[in-house]
Amino acid sequence: VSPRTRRRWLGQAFARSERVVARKIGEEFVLVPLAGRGADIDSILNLRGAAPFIWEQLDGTRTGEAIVDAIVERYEVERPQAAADYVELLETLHHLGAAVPAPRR
Amino acid sequence: MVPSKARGFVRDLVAFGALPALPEGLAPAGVFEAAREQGLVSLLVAAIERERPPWAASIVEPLAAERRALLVRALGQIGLAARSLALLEARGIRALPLKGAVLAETVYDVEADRPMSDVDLLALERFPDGVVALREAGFTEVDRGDHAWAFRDPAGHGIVELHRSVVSAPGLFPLDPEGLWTRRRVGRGQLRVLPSAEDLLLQLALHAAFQHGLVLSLVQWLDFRRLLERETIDVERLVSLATAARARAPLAAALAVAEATVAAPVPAPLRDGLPRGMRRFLEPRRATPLVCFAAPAEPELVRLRLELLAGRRMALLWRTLVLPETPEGDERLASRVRFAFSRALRLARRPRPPSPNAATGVHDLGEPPAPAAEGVEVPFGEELLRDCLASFPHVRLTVTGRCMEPALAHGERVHLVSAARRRPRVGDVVLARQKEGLRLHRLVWGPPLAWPGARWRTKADRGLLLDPPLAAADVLASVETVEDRPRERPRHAVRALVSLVAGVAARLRLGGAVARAEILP
Repeated sequence: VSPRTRRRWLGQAFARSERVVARKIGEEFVLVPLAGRGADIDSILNLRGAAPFIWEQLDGTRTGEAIVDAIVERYEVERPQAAADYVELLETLHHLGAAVPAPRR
Repeated sequence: MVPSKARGFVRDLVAFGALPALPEGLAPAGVFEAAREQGLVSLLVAAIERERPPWAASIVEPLAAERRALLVRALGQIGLAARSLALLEARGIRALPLKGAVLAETVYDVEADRPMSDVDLLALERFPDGVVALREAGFTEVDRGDHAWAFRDPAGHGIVELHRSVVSAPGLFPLDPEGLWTRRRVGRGQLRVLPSAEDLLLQLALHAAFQHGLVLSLVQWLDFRRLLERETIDVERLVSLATAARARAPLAAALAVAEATVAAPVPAPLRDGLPRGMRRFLEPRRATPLVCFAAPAEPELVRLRLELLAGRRMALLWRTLVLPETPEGDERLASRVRFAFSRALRLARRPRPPSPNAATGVHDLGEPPAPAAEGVEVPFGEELLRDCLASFPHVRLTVTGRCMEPALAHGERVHLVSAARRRPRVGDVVLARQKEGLRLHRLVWGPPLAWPGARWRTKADRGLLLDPPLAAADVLASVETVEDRPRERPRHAVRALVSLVAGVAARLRLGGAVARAEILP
């Protein structure tokens, strides 16, 4: 994403889409789109590492900056790394329609 | 063919909650197949991830992939049930989901744990209006039984069965619709309404005992255990409901078998109510539950129904033969009796139906459609793929392995088109069912060269020998395009013929007799 989009996303809150179901099955955490590209089995997303934690934080109220703070605290990583991980995952989720911008309050 | 040792292995896993030692001579692939057959893939992979036995290393990844596919499929099916319920509700028709869809959302850890071949809804009123509602929404009727009609989802993802009764012979076990509705619960998943735990248990018991002659897949027996362990069952209420529905015997029989098969914890008052003949039937068989009560065992349906209905056998005969309406929708008694005579003649001449098996996707209707090919197992992964192929112009698949290089490279994505939409021809790269599973290989002998009814042959471009002969029905789809090389045609008729000759020549070098047998498909 462009630096501008990146700044916007970090200042904005995103919410999990209701069209996507997340399930922890065994050691995997998978996202399944309930509608859309129905026949595309590849659209299932398998979240690893900090990704399930980030997914849980997308509650429509917390901004990207707040979530990055939470990642830094939980995983003891440098802030730039946490921000990069967050934006990278959000890009994937946004592309899949799994995360949508929350309306501004 | 699933080895009986493998079935015993997965049964022990369900009954004791831990992986047993792998019996000598049993390959991990056999365990995988048994888990598929019995609907226990998700449970097996969870146990393997928990206990990490060294023998299971080779099957962990395919099991996990299958579990993901099962999850997608189950969520889609439950979504279909929820949409169908909403359609009925919009017409003012009260209906409740039954069996698998409810269980998957309530007593299993995740929906993938409870595979199902279709979803079932019970119309509590105005069944004909419910049929009209589904038809008008684009659902197409695919099968019809005396107690339920099956419809295909217009979006193509699955089958919904609309029931007027939980089991065949409607009215034999009368369930009070008002009571069912009053006792309903609010769902927390995609299903907004659920039957009460007691109603659900009674329905499962009727289905197991009367509909399937006490032969179910192990995951269906596990349903009983999960319900008894994870829901609060009001035993007194359940006994009262079973008595009102004249279903004490089916309830007690199903629970006795669930106890023997998967160690379901059955409360003492629910053991009562078995007729003497039924007790005699069950006693010796409970010692070998896997052989007698787990699919693909043959159910002794007629004897069982007679024993369950001891004292009500005339009612059984009447309700079995005289349906609530004729296929033309005529509800007059004279027409129904006339139809009953012709139906009785048909039933008398009909061969024994195939044994019920959740894992093969056979419907629950009283008169199930014949399987595609006798003895052919259709595992859930393949079934999902079939659904997708039937429903969409093309399905995307990632290639694994290097046996088709350079035509298809490992990791490339291809678009498949079903054999029903485009008949495969020699030279096509086809998705075919081989003994080892589904394979993307080139069709080297088949239409238009092979004569009708002849066996077809496939071969990997980099393989030395031809694959075993296969029937046309074993070829599910052909590759239409390779995603990153849209201009290249994957079909190469000349390459196929060269490959055929090379395969035959290789066989001739290995042994003439075998080669001659293979040349003639």
